[in-house]
Amino acid sequence: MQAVIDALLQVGTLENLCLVIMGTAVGIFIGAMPGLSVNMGLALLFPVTFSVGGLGGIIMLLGIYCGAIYGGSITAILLRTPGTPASAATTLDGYPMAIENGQPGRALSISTTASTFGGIFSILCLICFAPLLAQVALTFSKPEYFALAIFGISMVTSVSAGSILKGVIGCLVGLWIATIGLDAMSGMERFTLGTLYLSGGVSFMPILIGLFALTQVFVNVEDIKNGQAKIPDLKIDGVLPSAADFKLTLPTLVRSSAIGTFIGCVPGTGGDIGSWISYNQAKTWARDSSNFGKGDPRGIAASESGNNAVVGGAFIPVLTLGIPGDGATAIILGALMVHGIQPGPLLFINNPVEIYTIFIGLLLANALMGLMGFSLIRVFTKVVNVPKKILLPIITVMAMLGTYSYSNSMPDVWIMIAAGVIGFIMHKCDMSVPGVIIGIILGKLAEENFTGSLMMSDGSMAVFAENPICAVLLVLSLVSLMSPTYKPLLRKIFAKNKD
Amino acid sequence: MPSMAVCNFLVALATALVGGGIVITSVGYGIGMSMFGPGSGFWPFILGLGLLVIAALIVFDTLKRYKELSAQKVVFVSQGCFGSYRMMLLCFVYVALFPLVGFYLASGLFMIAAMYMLGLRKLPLIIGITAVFLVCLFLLFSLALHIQLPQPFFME
Repeated sequence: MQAVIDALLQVGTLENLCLVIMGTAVGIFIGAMPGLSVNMGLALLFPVTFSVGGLGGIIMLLGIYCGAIYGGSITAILLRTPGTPASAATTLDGYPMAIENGQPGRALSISTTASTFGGIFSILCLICFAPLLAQVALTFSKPEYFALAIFGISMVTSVSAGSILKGVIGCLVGLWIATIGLDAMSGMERFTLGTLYLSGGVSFMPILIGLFALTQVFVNVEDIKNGQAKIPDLKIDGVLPSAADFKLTLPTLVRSSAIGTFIGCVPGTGGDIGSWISYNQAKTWARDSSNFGKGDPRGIAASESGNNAVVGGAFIPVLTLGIPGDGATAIILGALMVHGIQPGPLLFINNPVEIYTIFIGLLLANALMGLMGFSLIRVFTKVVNVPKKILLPIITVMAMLGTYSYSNSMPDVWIMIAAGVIGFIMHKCDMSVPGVIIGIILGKLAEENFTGSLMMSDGSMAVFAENPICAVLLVLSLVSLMSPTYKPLLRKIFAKNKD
Repeated sequence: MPSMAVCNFLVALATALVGGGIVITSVGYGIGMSMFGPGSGFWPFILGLGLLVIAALIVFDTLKRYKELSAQKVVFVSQGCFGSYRMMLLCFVYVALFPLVGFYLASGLFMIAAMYMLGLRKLPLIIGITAVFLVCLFLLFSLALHIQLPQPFFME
């Protein structure tokens, strides 16, 4: 108990409070800017931790981490330009609700609530079940990782608006794009056309920005020229979600937060996988899923609580085992070690004050993120009221800037434009874009663990059936993939029973 | 104006070509099992086969719903579409200008041209918005974050 009080006193100093507020604000800004990544923000402000005494600097980094995941949703909802890969799934229902249904305030309030809920839920899980969850996550070997990736890929049928077959094409092409470059197992160059640029693989960010942001710019230009552009005059009544919305989304919030927390525990995954799987599950479990993709509150709640819950989950292997799951937690792990804190099983015994300081810091950062989000909703929504004739060139410049600054590469910018043009053609041909993104995100995880599993088993496919977690995940994937074939049948049966 | 059925056949053809290309290339990388596991081409080979199967399924599905899909028109030629094509062209020119005049000047020219193309005719407003936006970007990205952006050739 004394450790908790000491930790509270440490976090409660004016200096540390200012640092966490600054960190969260910077994080929200970085998240909202396409091309500025969480890792970049953490790396840029990492040196600040040296000039701050105690754990103040670490708390600031926690604020950046939490804020950035949330910040990505703002531009995803208002501009269909995900600030981070983790918020790509939010565009599916966020943008239609904000722009097509004219409810930007509602969309942002649901996303803020979901982000805060998911973040706090996962930190409570971190506090209560950290050692237990870390043990389960550690049992994951290559077949389980492969099954997890397939489980993620199986959602392509539920996120494909329009033709499902065309959505699957996008996913397969995305999976193929992920194979471009050096083969991780043999080191062989694949599909590189002999170029140095492609031997490093195709970066994910330019394709994400091109397919979402630039495609939307081209579509909006078409609307303007056809005289179909809506005159933006959107007003918001309140910044808090209505009781009806909260009641509707509560089961989704709990389920997606639990999924996100678990995904976060598994090293090598991340907020992007967490949000897509949560979205898919929300759609699968919904009694009436017909509104998904058209501005369903549950879609926004699922992806946002799913990706923010990854934050708490990602700290479980970091703090209990000293294993960082992604780049962001690796930087924070480095910062902890620089400050003399050695994460691992003994951390809870040797540094109780520090561990509670981190817990309280994470809770505070999430609470602040919610407060800032709700208080700035009216400001954020002003973006929507900017005339498209001014907004579209600004979005295009931001897309170029974001893509270039991501890895200082001109070929990335060309790829982004090509992705935008292809996205426009896909839009015309009724092909869904998210499938491509899912394929690229999960491609490497799927292939490396598929190959690794076959190496472990001397080429026997039985390895995927022998493992219980793997087998269950693969069966669930099959059920999810086949859902478009049996769902109409089930609906008919239930409709008959009702009559 | 092509119908969705024609569009589907074209999508299936493109998919089959890409899938076929991946299959043929993957075979060259090796798809057999060795003591180091499956060959480098094994996984892409599966993906290529998947694309070929989906291409066949699209053809089958389109033939099955031919009447319904023939009635749906896909608009590639309209005033709106030409606006989008002009914007694409503008984007290509914009990026091509990066190595010549640098990011900021290219962005300024692009924003002025794009706003004009979209129908904004108040020149002071166009120039004002462009200038304020680019100054904000410069302060934030170049001065505060020290992010290296393309420089004009005469400043390199």
